[in-house]
Amino acid sequence: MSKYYNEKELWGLFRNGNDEAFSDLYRKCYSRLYAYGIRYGMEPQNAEDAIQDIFFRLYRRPELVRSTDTLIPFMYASVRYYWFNLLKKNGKMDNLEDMSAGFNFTYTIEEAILDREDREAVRQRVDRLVGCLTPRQKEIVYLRFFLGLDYDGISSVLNLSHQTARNLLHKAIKSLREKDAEAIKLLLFVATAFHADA
Amino acid sequence: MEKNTNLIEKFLFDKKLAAIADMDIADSERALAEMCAADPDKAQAITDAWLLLRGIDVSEDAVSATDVEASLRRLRARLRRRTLGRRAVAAVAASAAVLVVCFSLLYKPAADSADTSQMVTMLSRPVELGDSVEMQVGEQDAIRFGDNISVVQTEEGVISVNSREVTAVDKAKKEFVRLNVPYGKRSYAELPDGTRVWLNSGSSIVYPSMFESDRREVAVTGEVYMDVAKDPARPFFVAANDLRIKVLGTAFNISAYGDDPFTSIVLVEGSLEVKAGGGAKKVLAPGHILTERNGALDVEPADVHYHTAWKNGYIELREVALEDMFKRLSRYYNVNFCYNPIGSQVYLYGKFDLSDTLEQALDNISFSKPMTFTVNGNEIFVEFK
Repeated sequence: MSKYYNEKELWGLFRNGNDEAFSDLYRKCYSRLYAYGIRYGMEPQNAEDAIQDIFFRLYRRPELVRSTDTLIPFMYASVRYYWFNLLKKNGKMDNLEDMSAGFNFTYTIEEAILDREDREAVRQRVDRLVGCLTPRQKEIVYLRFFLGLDYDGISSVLNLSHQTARNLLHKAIKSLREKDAEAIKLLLFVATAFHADA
Repeated sequence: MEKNTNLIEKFLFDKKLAAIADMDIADSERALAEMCAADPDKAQAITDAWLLLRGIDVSEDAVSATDVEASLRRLRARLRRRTLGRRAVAAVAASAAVLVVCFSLLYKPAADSADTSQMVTMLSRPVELGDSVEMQVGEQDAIRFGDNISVVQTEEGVISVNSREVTAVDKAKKEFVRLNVPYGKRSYAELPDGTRVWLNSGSSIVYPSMFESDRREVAVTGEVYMDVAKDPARPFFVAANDLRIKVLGTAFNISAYGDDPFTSIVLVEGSLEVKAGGGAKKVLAPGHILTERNGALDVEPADVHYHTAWKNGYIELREVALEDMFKRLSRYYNVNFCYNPIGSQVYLYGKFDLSDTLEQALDNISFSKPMTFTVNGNEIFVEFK
């Protein structure tokens, strides 16, 4: 079933009484939520606990999600706050603002698109560029480009205003451009490398 | 090339393309081809953007399908346990209801004791508090204090406030002690049996100057945290709005504000038996919250620390709607927030130190959410940026 429906549609089906849609939603979201948690330094067990906690709450209290548009941001925000609360409980963090510093931005280049050699070259280049971003900018770029969230989604995950999210992202892209004018920008490089190869 | 870059950037933010990139590869390629055909001038940029959106993957952290299935089974098991528990409770509740109906034909329904009903009546009479914490002992004149107080009553009936003796109860007759804490203040009381009570802003407690030999009864409104002294021979009863709570040495938090649509109890340790006005009854285990709405009781696991943080001088907000945050802050600081309602999508997380001044608290909020505050006496006008 999950093949044919996206997250929002599955959520809608679940809200209309389709219990299996809930399982499909879990299957569909698990890896990305897990990866997101790991990026903040969560242990695998913490990440699973967080996801179970989120889905347990979603099942028991679906009204927590005000509209289907906020479902996905809600889940990412929940992972982030789950981890923050755990760190706080253990005396390792006081301030939500400090969460960004722990965000580790890594990624792979999809094998289907690049062969091994190019992937390594592209990866190094991209790593260097991403290294120039502030932690907060990294979080935003990640949410925007890799998870495909829109500004409203980003701002609710990171607890920012819509405008702040927009400004920070533009700043991030601008600083990427300034840092490496030749490469034009971070992700474009991946595409050109592909074309050169093809 | 530069022009093409801008175009690519534009398409990276294109909702339709983002959705296409999210599809299975065959569908995705077909949809991409359609999108390019519809806009051939920009086909190159669209294709590049699509490659970017698809080309970078978080697969390094991906979890195997087997692991996801195992995790899903664990979740389903948790949900089933929960649902089963609720069904069992519902069944018991249904049979209890049948019993109650039968007995009520034979007996008068059990009513509050004379003391409890008198105390509840006392609490239902509104008092004009202003800014002072007020203590009234029996028929004596009320004593007012400009600041938070700590009241201790010994078994002999001597009452001290902030470690200074101020009065004593008349042991010759039965009377009641009443403590009223206005919005903007908090206080602490030690009852003659050693039970400790923290009163949050806008809360009151009434208790008999001397407890009976076989029972201890108090009535509260607002929010209180109680650490009840153990005394199996004299069970402890609390009346809070429509709830009647039976206690056997335990610590818990009650939130029973008149302007909230619910009453809730969080049990920290021990065990509690709670009865609603309509007859519903629940036994509460530690680490759980019981919520009463319109006579219905609901029990859920709860983070005890979160619900009792106010007692330690701070409040935490987790996924709290803006208007609920204003409601809570207006209790602590005794102010009114005036604002035009905005979309209901604003939720807040954060922590307030209750020893902060109002200005510091407002500063903290405007730091995390873009809004400005204009203070005019007790009114605070909020403008969202």
